[in-house]
Amino acid sequence: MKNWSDEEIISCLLNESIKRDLALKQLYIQLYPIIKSFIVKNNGTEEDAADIFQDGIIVFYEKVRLRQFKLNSSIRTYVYSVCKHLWLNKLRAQKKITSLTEESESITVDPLSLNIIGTREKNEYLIKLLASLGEDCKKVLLYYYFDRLKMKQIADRMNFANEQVAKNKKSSCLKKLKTIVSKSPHLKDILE
Amino acid sequence: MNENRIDQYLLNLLSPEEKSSFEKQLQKDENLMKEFLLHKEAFETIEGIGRVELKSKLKKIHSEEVENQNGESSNIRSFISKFAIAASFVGLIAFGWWWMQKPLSPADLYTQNFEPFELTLNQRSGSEKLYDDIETAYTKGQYENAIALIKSYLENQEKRSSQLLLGLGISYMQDENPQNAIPYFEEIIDNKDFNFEDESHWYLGLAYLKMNDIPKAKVHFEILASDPSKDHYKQSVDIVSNLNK
Repeated sequence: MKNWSDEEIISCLLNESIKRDLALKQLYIQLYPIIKSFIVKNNGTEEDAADIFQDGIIVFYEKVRLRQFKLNSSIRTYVYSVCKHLWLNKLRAQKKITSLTEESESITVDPLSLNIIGTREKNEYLIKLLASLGEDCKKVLLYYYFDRLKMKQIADRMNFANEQVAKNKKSSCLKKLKTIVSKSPHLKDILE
Repeated sequence: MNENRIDQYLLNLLSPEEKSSFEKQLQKDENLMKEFLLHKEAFETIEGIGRVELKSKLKKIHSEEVENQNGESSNIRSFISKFAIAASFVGLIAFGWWWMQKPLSPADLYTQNFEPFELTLNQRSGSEKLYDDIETAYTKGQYENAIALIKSYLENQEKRSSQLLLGLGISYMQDENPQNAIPYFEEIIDNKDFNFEDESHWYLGLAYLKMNDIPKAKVHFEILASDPSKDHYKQSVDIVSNLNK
């Protein structure tokens, strides 16, 4: 199977969900083996490798969705570098610093970009909040704030009559989310 | 009007001048600042939800692309797979003979099907003594000790190991405390750890059989019986059939 180019992957990640899922699968096929090899050679298990790789992809996707990823380095180099930093941080937290056996070239990664990886406590709390939001509101708000789609794109995906309907739905869902958030005093501490 | 403006600010759609002007306005207008802070919290929440969903999707892809296609498994998965095949084979032969005779009681079904798995923990280099102690206690049937050791280890883990959670639950079952085992198997399922999900449903079903809670036992066996690719599929089909008699 032909490997996708970096441009193809990024283009599909910014596209509709089916193409995005295909792009994510491609990232797995192309990049997971090298990350797994790196983690296992550096005191990690396969379970660690899966977890670190998934977090690495989340950091990479963040850059892409915010249109901040520049193809100065390849996706492979960037994701490898992120995973390497995440693993190093984990080893430090467990006081298991050793010299690392490298698998590939790496670049410096802004430590702040790694902060988006949530703790288990944070993720569990967010999942609970998600349950009270409702499926349609979740979709609309994610399309608008996470995927950064335009109202027309949201209207098409949600089968709304027009952009104004999408805009009204987004406003009402945002209001619902604000109500949920204002009743969750613990949330602010968790998000920090 | 404020909602749009705040959206533009948070989505970084304002020019530097507009951004600066908005920030000055925030400093002067207490009500606007309150509205902004709540909106920002909602914004950060939905971004967090987006990342959580993305992680779930990636775990699913991992299961499809790596676990199902990987001919070479980790040590634990390889052992559990071999054990599951052996246990399924043994369980099928024994259960098949009994099934021909009469319906089995829940207690009999439990006895026929329950087997603890051999706990072989993946250790990092620079092995930890606690891992050795856990394995030893478990293997020697010192389940009270195994429970204490595993719980002690799990307390310090940010990401609790599914292998150890499974071992803890089974230790409770071996110690005749199935009700204490249940939360640990459920935790594995809640964590959506696809490597151990089937095993968790299997032991949950057995725990509820032990407690004579047939409806809850059936829920878990029916999940396994719904898909031939799941571990313990055939055993579960037979158990459900027996419970329905």
